[in-house]
Amino acid sequence: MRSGTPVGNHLRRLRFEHGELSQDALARAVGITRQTIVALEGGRYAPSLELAMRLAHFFGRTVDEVFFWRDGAPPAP
Amino acid sequence: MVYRTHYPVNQTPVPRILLILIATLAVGALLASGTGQLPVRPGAIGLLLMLTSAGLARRHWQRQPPAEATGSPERALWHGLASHGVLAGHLAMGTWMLAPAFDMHGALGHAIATDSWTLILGALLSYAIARDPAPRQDERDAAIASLGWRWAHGALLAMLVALILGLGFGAGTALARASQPMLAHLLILILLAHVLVNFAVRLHLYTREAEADAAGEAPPA
Repeated sequence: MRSGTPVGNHLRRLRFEHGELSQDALARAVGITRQTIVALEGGRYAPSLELAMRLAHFFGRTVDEVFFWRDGAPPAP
Repeated sequence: MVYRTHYPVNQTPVPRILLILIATLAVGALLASGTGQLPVRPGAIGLLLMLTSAGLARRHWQRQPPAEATGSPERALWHGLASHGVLAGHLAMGTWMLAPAFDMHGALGHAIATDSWTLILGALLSYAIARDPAPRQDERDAAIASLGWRWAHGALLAMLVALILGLGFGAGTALARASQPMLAHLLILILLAHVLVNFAVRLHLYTREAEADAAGEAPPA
Protein backbone atom coordinates (compact mmCIF):
# COMPACT_ATOMS: atom_id res chain seq x y z
CA MET A 1 0.00 0.00 0.00
CA ARG A 2 1.34 3.42 -0.97
CA SER A 3 2.24 5.27 2.21
CA GLY A 4 2.57 8.79 0.81
CA THR A 5 0.43 11.35 -0.90
CA PRO A 6 0.66 11.75 -4.69
CA VAL A 7 1.23 15.48 -4.17
CA GLY A 8 4.81 16.60 -3.63
CA ASN A 9 6.09 20.05 -2.69
CA HIS A 10 9.15 22.28 -2.53
CA LEU A 11 8.56 23.51 1.01
CA ARG A 12 11.90 22.42 2.38
CA ARG A 13 13.81 24.18 -0.41
CA LEU A 14 11.65 27.29 -0.14
CA ARG A 15 12.22 27.44 3.61
CA PHE A 16 15.96 27.42 3.11
CA GLU A 17 15.72 30.00 0.36
CA HIS A 18 13.86 32.22 2.81
CA GLY A 19 16.72 32.61 5.25
CA GLU A 20 16.67 29.01 6.51
CA LEU A 21 13.28 29.54 8.03
CA SER A 22 12.54 26.96 10.71
CA GLN A 23 9.61 24.58 10.40
CA ASP A 24 8.06 26.11 13.50
CA ALA A 25 8.42 29.66 12.18
CA LEU A 26 6.76 28.71 8.89
CA ALA A 27 4.01 26.87 10.75
CA ARG A 28 3.29 29.90 12.93
CA ALA A 29 3.34 32.21 9.92
CA VAL A 30 0.61 30.27 8.14
CA GLY A 31 -1.33 29.25 11.25
CA ILE A 32 -0.64 25.53 11.40
CA THR A 33 1.45 23.22 13.57
CA ARG A 34 5.10 22.31 13.14
CA GLN A 35 4.05 18.67 12.88
CA THR A 36 1.99 19.47 9.78
CA ILE A 37 5.00 21.10 8.11
CA VAL A 38 7.00 17.95 8.96
CA ALA A 39 4.24 15.76 7.48
CA LEU A 40 4.03 17.93 4.36
CA GLU A 41 7.78 17.89 3.80
CA GLY A 42 7.82 14.15 4.40
CA GLY A 43 5.20 13.67 1.70
CA ARG A 44 2.75 12.13 4.13
CA TYR A 45 0.04 14.76 4.07
CA ALA A 46 -1.74 16.52 1.22
CA PRO A 47 -2.93 19.97 2.33
CA SER A 48 -6.34 21.44 1.70
CA LEU A 49 -6.56 23.93 -1.14
CA GLU A 50 -6.79 26.76 1.39
CA LEU A 51 -3.60 25.71 3.17
CA ALA A 52 -1.80 25.16 -0.15
CA MET A 53 -2.75 28.68 -1.20
CA ARG A 54 -1.67 30.13 2.13
CA LEU A 55 1.72 28.45 1.90
CA ALA A 56 2.19 29.57 -1.70
CA HIS A 57 1.16 33.11 -0.78
CA PHE A 58 3.65 33.17 2.09
CA PHE A 59 6.50 32.37 -0.30
CA GLY A 60 5.18 34.73 -2.99
CA ARG A 61 4.65 31.83 -5.39
CA THR A 62 1.71 30.25 -7.13
CA VAL A 63 0.35 26.95 -5.87
CA ASP A 64 1.79 25.18 -8.93
CA GLU A 65 5.25 26.47 -8.07
CA VAL A 66 5.07 24.99 -4.60
CA PHE A 67 3.07 21.77 -5.14
CA PHE A 68 3.31 19.22 -7.93
CA TRP A 69 2.18 15.72 -8.89
CA ARG A 70 4.92 13.25 -8.05
CA ASP A 71 4.22 11.18 -11.13
CA GLY A 72 3.90 14.20 -13.36
CA ALA A 73 0.15 13.79 -13.65
CA PRO A 74 -2.72 13.11 -11.24
CA PRO A 75 -3.24 9.43 -10.43
CA ALA A 76 -6.25 7.68 -11.89
CA PRO A 77 -9.36 8.39 -9.78
CA MET B 1 -15.02 18.44 3.58
CA VAL B 2 -13.00 15.25 3.72
CA TYR B 3 -9.30 15.54 4.38
CA ARG B 4 -6.97 12.67 3.64
CA THR B 5 -3.98 11.53 5.58
CA HIS B 6 -1.77 8.76 4.38
CA TYR B 7 -1.21 6.58 7.39
CA PRO B 8 -2.58 3.07 7.03
CA VAL B 9 -3.99 2.35 10.50
CA ASN B 10 -3.38 -1.39 10.31
CA GLN B 11 0.36 -1.14 9.65
CA THR B 12 1.54 0.53 12.83
CA PRO B 13 2.67 -1.30 15.97
CA VAL B 14 0.91 0.09 19.01
CA PRO B 15 2.60 -1.46 22.05
CA ARG B 16 2.97 1.79 24.02
CA ILE B 17 -0.63 2.83 23.50
CA LEU B 18 -1.93 -0.65 24.40
CA LEU B 19 0.40 -0.82 27.39
CA ILE B 20 -0.87 2.47 28.81
CA LEU B 21 -4.47 1.50 28.10
CA ILE B 22 -4.12 -1.87 29.81
CA ALA B 23 -2.19 -0.36 32.73
CA THR B 24 -4.75 2.38 33.36
CA LEU B 25 -7.67 -0.05 33.05
CA ALA B 26 -5.91 -2.27 35.60
CA VAL B 27 -5.30 0.67 37.96
CA GLY B 28 -8.98 1.61 37.76
CA ALA B 29 -10.06 -1.97 38.38
CA LEU B 30 -7.66 -2.31 41.32
CA LEU B 31 -8.95 0.90 42.87
CA ALA B 32 -12.53 -0.36 42.63
CA SER B 33 -11.61 -3.75 44.06
CA GLY B 34 -10.05 -2.00 47.05
CA THR B 35 -13.30 -0.26 47.99
CA GLY B 36 -13.92 -0.69 51.71
CA GLN B 37 -10.68 -2.60 52.21
CA LEU B 38 -8.17 0.23 52.43
CA PRO B 39 -7.59 2.79 55.18
CA VAL B 40 -7.75 5.52 52.52
CA ARG B 41 -10.51 5.96 49.96
CA PRO B 42 -9.37 4.37 46.66
CA GLY B 43 -10.86 7.33 44.80
CA ALA B 44 -8.50 9.68 46.67
CA ILE B 45 -5.54 7.43 45.79
CA GLY B 46 -6.63 7.52 42.15
CA LEU B 47 -6.97 11.30 42.22
CA LEU B 48 -3.49 11.65 43.67
CA LEU B 49 -2.08 9.27 41.04
CA MET B 50 -3.75 11.26 38.26
CA LEU B 51 -2.43 14.59 39.51
CA THR B 52 1.08 13.21 40.00
CA SER B 53 1.11 11.58 36.55
CA ALA B 54 -0.17 14.79 34.95
CA GLY B 55 2.57 16.79 36.70
CA LEU B 56 5.25 14.37 35.50
CA ALA B 57 3.86 14.39 31.96
CA ARG B 58 3.79 18.18 31.95
CA ARG B 59 7.40 18.35 33.12
CA HIS B 60 8.42 15.83 30.44
CA TRP B 61 6.68 17.85 27.71
CA GLN B 62 8.12 21.14 28.98
CA ARG B 63 11.65 19.73 28.76
CA GLN B 64 11.30 18.69 25.12
CA PRO B 65 13.26 20.81 22.64
CA PRO B 66 10.90 22.97 20.54
CA ALA B 67 11.79 21.08 17.36
CA GLU B 68 10.65 17.80 18.90
CA ALA B 69 7.81 19.02 21.10
CA THR B 70 4.71 16.88 21.38
CA GLY B 71 1.73 18.59 19.76
CA SER B 72 -1.22 19.94 21.73
CA PRO B 73 -3.72 17.34 20.44
CA GLU B 74 -1.33 14.50 21.29
CA ARG B 75 -0.91 15.79 24.83
CA ALA B 76 -4.67 15.92 25.25
CA LEU B 77 -5.02 12.43 23.76
CA TRP B 78 -2.41 10.87 26.05
CA HIS B 79 -4.17 12.43 29.01
CA GLY B 80 -7.57 11.32 27.69
CA LEU B 81 -6.40 7.76 27.14
CA ALA B 82 -4.95 7.48 30.64
CA SER B 83 -7.75 9.21 32.54
CA HIS B 84 -10.57 7.52 30.64
CA GLY B 85 -8.74 4.21 31.05
CA VAL B 86 -8.75 4.62 34.84
CA LEU B 87 -12.41 5.67 34.81
CA ALA B 88 -13.40 2.76 32.58
CA GLY B 89 -11.46 0.23 34.63
CA HIS B 90 -13.01 1.52 37.84
CA LEU B 91 -16.52 1.54 36.41
CA ALA B 92 -16.12 -1.93 34.88
CA MET B 93 -14.90 -3.46 38.14
CA GLY B 94 -17.52 -1.55 40.14
CA THR B 95 -20.26 -2.81 37.81
CA TRP B 96 -18.89 -6.34 38.13
CA MET B 97 -18.85 -6.09 41.93
CA LEU B 98 -22.42 -4.80 42.08
CA ALA B 99 -23.88 -7.10 39.39
CA PRO B 100 -26.50 -8.23 38.74
CA ALA B 101 -28.80 -6.59 41.32
CA PHE B 102 -26.81 -3.35 41.31
CA ASP B 103 -27.82 -1.92 44.66
CA MET B 104 -26.77 1.69 44.13
CA HIS B 105 -27.91 2.76 47.58
CA GLY B 106 -26.03 0.17 49.62
CA ALA B 107 -22.73 0.94 51.35
CA LEU B 108 -20.67 -0.56 48.52
CA GLY B 109 -22.67 1.22 45.84
CA HIS B 110 -22.26 4.56 47.59
CA ALA B 111 -18.53 4.05 48.12
CA ILE B 112 -17.93 3.10 44.47
CA ALA B 113 -20.05 6.03 43.26
CA THR B 114 -18.15 8.50 45.47
CA ASP B 115 -14.85 7.12 44.18
CA SER B 116 -16.09 7.35 40.59
CA TRP B 117 -16.91 11.03 41.00
CA THR B 118 -13.59 11.61 42.76
CA LEU B 119 -11.81 10.05 39.78
CA ILE B 120 -13.81 12.26 37.38
CA LEU B 121 -12.66 15.27 39.41
CA GLY B 122 -9.10 13.91 39.17
CA ALA B 123 -9.43 13.61 35.39
CA LEU B 124 -10.57 17.22 35.09
CA LEU B 125 -7.91 18.61 37.42
CA SER B 126 -5.15 16.56 35.83
CA TYR B 127 -6.20 17.80 32.39
CA ALA B 128 -5.73 21.35 33.62
CA ILE B 129 -2.19 20.39 34.64
CA ALA B 130 -1.21 18.33 31.60
CA ARG B 131 -2.77 20.35 28.80
CA ASP B 132 -0.73 22.51 26.51
CA PRO B 133 -0.91 26.07 27.90
CA ALA B 134 -0.76 27.43 24.35
CA PRO B 135 -2.72 24.86 22.35
CA ARG B 136 -2.31 24.71 18.57
CA GLN B 137 -4.05 22.46 16.09
CA ASP B 138 -4.89 22.57 12.44
CA GLU B 139 -6.58 20.76 9.57
CA ARG B 140 -4.26 17.74 9.80
CA ASP B 141 -5.28 17.21 13.42
CA ALA B 142 -8.92 17.49 12.30
CA ALA B 143 -8.26 14.86 9.62
CA ILE B 144 -6.70 12.53 12.18
CA ALA B 145 -9.59 13.17 14.59
CA SER B 146 -12.03 12.34 11.82
CA LEU B 147 -10.31 8.99 11.22
CA GLY B 148 -10.32 8.29 14.95
CA TRP B 149 -14.02 8.97 15.25
CA ARG B 150 -14.74 6.79 12.22
CA TRP B 151 -13.07 3.83 13.91
CA ALA B 152 -14.73 4.68 17.22
CA HIS B 153 -18.18 4.81 15.64
CA GLY B 154 -17.57 1.38 14.10
CA ALA B 155 -16.57 0.04 17.50
CA LEU B 156 -19.61 1.67 19.11
CA LEU B 157 -21.94 0.02 16.60
CA ALA B 158 -20.28 -3.36 17.18
CA MET B 159 -20.62 -3.04 20.98
CA LEU B 160 -24.25 -1.93 20.76
CA VAL B 161 -25.11 -4.80 18.42
CA ALA B 162 -23.42 -7.21 20.85
CA LEU B 163 -25.46 -5.76 23.74
CA ILE B 164 -28.68 -5.91 21.74
CA LEU B 165 -28.03 -9.54 20.80
CA GLY B 166 -27.15 -10.34 24.41
CA LEU B 167 -30.34 -8.76 25.66
CA GLY B 168 -32.46 -10.31 22.93
CA PHE B 169 -31.08 -13.83 22.93
CA GLY B 170 -29.35 -14.13 26.30
CA ALA B 171 -32.27 -15.44 28.33
CA GLY B 172 -30.94 -17.07 31.48
CA THR B 173 -27.64 -15.18 31.38
CA ALA B 174 -26.52 -12.53 33.90
CA LEU B 175 -27.24 -9.91 31.26
CA ALA B 176 -30.89 -10.93 31.08
CA ARG B 177 -31.17 -10.57 34.86
CA ALA B 178 -29.47 -7.19 34.87
CA SER B 179 -31.33 -4.34 36.53
CA GLN B 180 -31.94 -1.04 34.80
CA PRO B 181 -29.10 0.72 36.70
CA MET B 182 -26.73 -2.03 35.63
CA LEU B 183 -27.76 -1.70 32.00
CA ALA B 184 -27.30 2.05 32.30
CA HIS B 185 -23.77 1.51 33.59
CA LEU B 186 -23.06 -0.97 30.80
CA LEU B 187 -24.08 1.71 28.32
CA ILE B 188 -21.77 4.21 30.04
CA LEU B 189 -18.96 1.65 29.75
CA ILE B 190 -19.71 1.27 26.05
CA LEU B 191 -19.51 5.05 25.62
CA LEU B 192 -16.20 5.11 27.48
CA ALA B 193 -14.87 2.29 25.28
CA HIS B 194 -16.02 4.24 22.22
CA VAL B 195 -14.02 7.29 23.34
CA LEU B 196 -11.00 5.11 24.19
CA VAL B 197 -11.01 3.62 20.68
CA ASN B 198 -11.00 7.15 19.27
CA PHE B 199 -8.07 8.20 21.47
CA ALA B 200 -6.11 5.01 20.74
CA VAL B 201 -6.55 5.24 16.96
CA ARG B 202 -5.55 8.91 16.88
CA LEU B 203 -2.50 8.28 19.05
CA HIS B 204 -1.66 5.37 16.76
CA LEU B 205 -1.68 7.72 13.78
CA TYR B 206 0.46 10.33 15.56
CA THR B 207 2.86 7.61 16.69
CA ARG B 208 3.12 6.30 13.15
CA GLU B 209 3.98 9.80 12.00
CA ALA B 210 6.60 10.31 14.71
CA GLU B 211 8.18 6.97 13.80
CA ALA B 212 8.29 7.95 10.13
CA ASP B 213 9.93 11.27 11.05
CA ALA B 214 12.47 9.55 13.28
CA ALA B 215 13.26 7.02 10.56
CA GLY B 216 13.59 9.80 7.99
CA GLU B 217 11.10 7.94 5.82
CA ALA B 218 11.32 9.31 2.32
CA PRO B 219 8.21 10.02 0.32
CA PRO B 220 7.51 7.55 -2.47
CA ALA B 221 9.15 8.29 -5.79
